[in-house]
Amino acid sequence: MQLIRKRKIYDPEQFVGREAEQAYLRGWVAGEKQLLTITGPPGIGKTWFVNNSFQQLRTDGQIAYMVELPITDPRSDQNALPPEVLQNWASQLLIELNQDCPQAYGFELGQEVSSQLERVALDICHRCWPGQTVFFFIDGGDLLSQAAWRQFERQAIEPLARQSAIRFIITLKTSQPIKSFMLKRREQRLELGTLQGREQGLQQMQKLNPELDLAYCEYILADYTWDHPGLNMLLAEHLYGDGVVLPPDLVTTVLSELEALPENGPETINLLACLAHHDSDTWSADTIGQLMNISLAQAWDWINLLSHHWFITNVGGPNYKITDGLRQFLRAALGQKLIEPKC
Amino acid sequence: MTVDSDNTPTDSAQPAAEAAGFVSRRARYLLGTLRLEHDPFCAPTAELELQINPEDSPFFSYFVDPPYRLTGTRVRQPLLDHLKAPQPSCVYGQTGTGKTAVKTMLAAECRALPEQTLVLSLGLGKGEPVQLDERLLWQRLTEALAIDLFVQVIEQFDSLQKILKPALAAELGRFWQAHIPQFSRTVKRELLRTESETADMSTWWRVWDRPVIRYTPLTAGRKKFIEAILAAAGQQPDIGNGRSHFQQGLKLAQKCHYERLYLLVDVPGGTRPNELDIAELLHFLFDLTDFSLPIYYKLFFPQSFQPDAEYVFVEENMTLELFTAVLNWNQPDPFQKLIEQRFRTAEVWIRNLNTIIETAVVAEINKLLQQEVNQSPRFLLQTISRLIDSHANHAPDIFLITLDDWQRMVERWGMKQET
Repeated sequence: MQLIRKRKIYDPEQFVGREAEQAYLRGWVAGEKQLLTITGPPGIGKTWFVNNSFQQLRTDGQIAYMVELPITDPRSDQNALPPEVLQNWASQLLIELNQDCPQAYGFELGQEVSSQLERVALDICHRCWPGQTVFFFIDGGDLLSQAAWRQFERQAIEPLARQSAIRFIITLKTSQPIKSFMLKRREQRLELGTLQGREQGLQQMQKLNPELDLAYCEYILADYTWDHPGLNMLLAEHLYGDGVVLPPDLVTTVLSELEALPENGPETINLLACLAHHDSDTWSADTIGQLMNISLAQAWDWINLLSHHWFITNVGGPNYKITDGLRQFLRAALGQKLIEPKC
Repeated sequence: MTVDSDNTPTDSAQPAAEAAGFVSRRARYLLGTLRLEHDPFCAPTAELELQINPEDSPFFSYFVDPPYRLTGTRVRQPLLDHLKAPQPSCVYGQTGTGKTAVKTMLAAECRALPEQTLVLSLGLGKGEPVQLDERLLWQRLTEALAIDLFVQVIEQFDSLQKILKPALAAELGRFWQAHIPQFSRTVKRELLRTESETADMSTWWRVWDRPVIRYTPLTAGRKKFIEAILAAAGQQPDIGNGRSHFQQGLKLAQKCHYERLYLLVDVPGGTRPNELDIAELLHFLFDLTDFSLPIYYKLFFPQSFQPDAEYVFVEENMTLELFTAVLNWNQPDPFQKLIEQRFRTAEVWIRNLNTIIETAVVAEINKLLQQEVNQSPRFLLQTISRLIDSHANHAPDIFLITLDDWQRMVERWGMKQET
């Protein structure tokens, strides 16, 4: 099973909700913390939220830059950023900054990255925009391997962060820590959850696919709450026709496009189906052991795997649940017999 | 590290650990069964933690703001925020409560940002006798000033580059050569070791016992500056004139645009009041006035020194301007945070002790921490480390630590706090 995560390019016309989160962002802007990390599981809408926030700040007349992260292979946590990748990334950023701030230090392409960034940060804050705040939006921190992210923190973000007038909005996975002590002490976190209620979700579905018969969609996926932005996007794409057809492989397609499925995809989906079918929303490793008739050690292996792929989240102590939104979708799929738990 | 080797359960466990590619059962449990990136409990002190992966030590990720008791009427905020303010400060704490960790973090915070604060670290009695001979004190103070000025100028080179003209570089070079032992030889050796432009030269700081706090590449600019300071002709320090040498260093710091000096003095927890004349030390520090830079001392004293030190502060009429705090770990929350932070650094899926330790054992740990004598993070970390050993030696493939593991640990180690 191929591990492809699908992402839809941000379209402001299709953005819905997030009023409470925008208010939180405004509070952060008015405060003093240098870093706002936006966290959440894959598909929850971090990218769209930061794109929307970026546009809002620009509209409000703030100085803001959207920074694309260099791409590496996230499957190995040991993969560091090759120097040339970081160099190219920094060169692009410096060219962009230099266009808006020609008085900035005359940087030379090809020179060591972190030193250049530190000097440019000093100059944009003191020569071009003294006394003003410069915002950097950095999306995709959750797509880098841990080693590459740490390297990016040390060699790219920290040199910029030495100027307190530079502030950052960064997307990371839930619980993904900021390791830089100078950033961590200046960090505020916003955990992005599902949309506020079914109505917002259906409004999003309407914008994503105006031809869908939403009433029928609600009828056939009755247990789904329609509040998970990433799932909604995939459903808007994969449900079609006036009468709405449910493709038989809908669950596999949606899960693999939401978050890369592990190699044992069918077993993973079966376990998720069993857990979604379970009486309680929350459960522990013991539950998995009993459901699947496996040892506790094997149950923990599964918890590790499902956590790694963000299909489940810890709810305190040894207890877990299937991620909000996904749990309801799986129950809806069980109702339609798109998946049948074998446990 | 603690290993309860006399409790080996089966002969086959060790070969199994090796067969799985782990060097020990502890490693097999932590890195294999729990899938942590590293062992977050392998070092119980700040100094030892700084030696783990020194280029990017996990110490800084582990750090949590310690709880403290305020004296006087001040607004409560994180301890480090108080300490970063330009005012004299004194932090007291029992052994293992984190004085050195706070001191190290304060130095790191000041070094990380170009805020014109030069931070000077003076350890007293760490691995050597505590002597307050005035000549020796001046010599150690000037040496520490020279080392810290060198480290921080190189770290902040990109923001200082425009003022580091050849004449100032030569002056700095002469001062460093005169007051840092084997300066030229050490720097030349490290230069030879460093190969490419992206090589991180912050590993050099270990030679002078300064932690690495940021990535500092040996760029062409830094290399040229270092060559210039090495080319400056050195001079021998005049032995009888400690104060003037120190003053010379401060003038150079001022030329590098530093506006204040924070003097961090750390007295180790094991030092007893009869081993160090605290009054003499404080009078020496109070006498550090009329220099070109304002000096704010930040003192980290064992709690047993508090009565004597406060007597001197009152005598010298210092109490109003002095910020005083006592590290005080008497609540369960900071301990929880301490553990969470370590697990989060090593792997995100374990949020707290309950995830991997039976509830009954967590209750035992909490009970132990409620005893006043045990209220220190070092004691907690040692206890968990021993508990891990106790478990890993018996069942490295099982994730859950049980009451049996706890009981074996208590039998093996007892539960007295080490000093």
